[in-house]
Amino acid sequence: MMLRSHIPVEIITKILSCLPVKPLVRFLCVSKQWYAVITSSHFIKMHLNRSIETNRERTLILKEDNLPPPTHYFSVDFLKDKQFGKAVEIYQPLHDPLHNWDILDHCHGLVCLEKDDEAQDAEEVLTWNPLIRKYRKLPIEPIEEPSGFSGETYSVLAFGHDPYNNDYKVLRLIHFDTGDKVEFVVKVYGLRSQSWKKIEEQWPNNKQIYTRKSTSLNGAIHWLVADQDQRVLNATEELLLAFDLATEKFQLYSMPFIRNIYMDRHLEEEFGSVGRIYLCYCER
Amino acid sequence: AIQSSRFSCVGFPLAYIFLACKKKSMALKLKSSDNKIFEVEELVAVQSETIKSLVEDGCANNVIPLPNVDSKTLELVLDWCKNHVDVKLDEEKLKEYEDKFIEVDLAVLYDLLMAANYLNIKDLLNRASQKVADMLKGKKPEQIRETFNIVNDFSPEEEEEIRKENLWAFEE
Repeated sequence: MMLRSHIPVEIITKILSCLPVKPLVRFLCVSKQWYAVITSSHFIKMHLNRSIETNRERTLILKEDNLPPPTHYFSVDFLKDKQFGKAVEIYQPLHDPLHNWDILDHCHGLVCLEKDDEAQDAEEVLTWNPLIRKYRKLPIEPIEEPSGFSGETYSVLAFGHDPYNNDYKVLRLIHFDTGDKVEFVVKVYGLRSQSWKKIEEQWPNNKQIYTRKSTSLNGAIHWLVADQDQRVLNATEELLLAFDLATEKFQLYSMPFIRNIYMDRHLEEEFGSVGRIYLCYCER
Repeated sequence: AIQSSRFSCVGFPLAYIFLACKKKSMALKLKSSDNKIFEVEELVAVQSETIKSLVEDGCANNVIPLPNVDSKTLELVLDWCKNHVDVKLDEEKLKEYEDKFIEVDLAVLYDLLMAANYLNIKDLLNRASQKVADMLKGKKPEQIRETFNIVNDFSPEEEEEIRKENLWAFEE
């Protein structure tokens, strides 16, 4: 089987977009032109869109925390007859025998992992593409305390996709807690720029996060927040806070129902479950 | 707003009705690169976005020359279009037809791809691309180069480096 005629690059691109990831990685070394096509952002977007359209290569990733570490990851395929395949252990992004790694969030098959470290002495975060078996560690600077600050500092990470700039971003919320008051510094890391930037927009005054993990959807990262000085043990007004990754602005939404957050926190401590919001996007 | 202003224009409604009646029975003449004329129903031909825009621009009254498609390929393409006119067609039957249609060798697939691309027929382009992709899926880079007549312009060191980084993709 051999072709004499020359195939235009647009048709090569079209054919390659129909291939699964493994042969694509293998075909990187066919020629410089094929390498350029397969690694171009235009092609990556095209391949992703086709995967979404045709529902191909969908897999569930399972994580198994171990004592002692490392964490193990498994992939479970969706089979054609609407059943799950067998759980197969997948390539480990890093062999860290000292820590487990949490899945912070994921988007379009890109997974953001965070080191599970109680002491928080050295935060670490990485983005991982399980299909091409590559990961990238993000640089994280130690928290800089303002001069004269006495209190506790800690940070929380979040991950999401910015569809306007087609960029994946990690958000870092740094808390400065004096006991009476918490202040936030917000920083964002773009995978394109590969650098951290401080967000000028202020975190809404006096709002504390009540969800341990954020939820990213539709270009924004979301948390449940409430006024920090609420000491009453009954229902308190809880709000949904969204951070738009493209405009870099915060927006507060009132909740459709009132929930007793203190009860939930109690449940969380009791059973170790995480109060996490679930959002879904409905297209009209 | 555009619609209402159009209809307020004197004489337009009559012309509109005339065109609408004529549309069904209209046949288009397509000329292949080897000068064969194919007479086809407009509904069949306008599955090609390229021909559709010619019709919409009023450039389809005479023979439409298609200098990039030979008669052998055009016949196949038009057969595909005929079978895709009726959207209510039985899905299973259509799939059966498509599977049979696409069972051709690489040279014919190549002609179909080029024609589908030039005529802008999305479903045919997708189906033919998928077929070629299925043929390539299990191949080694060397076999790909041979199939498409591609010269390897990587130096041995460069190639080795890319392979080393992605060894898993070469495992069975």
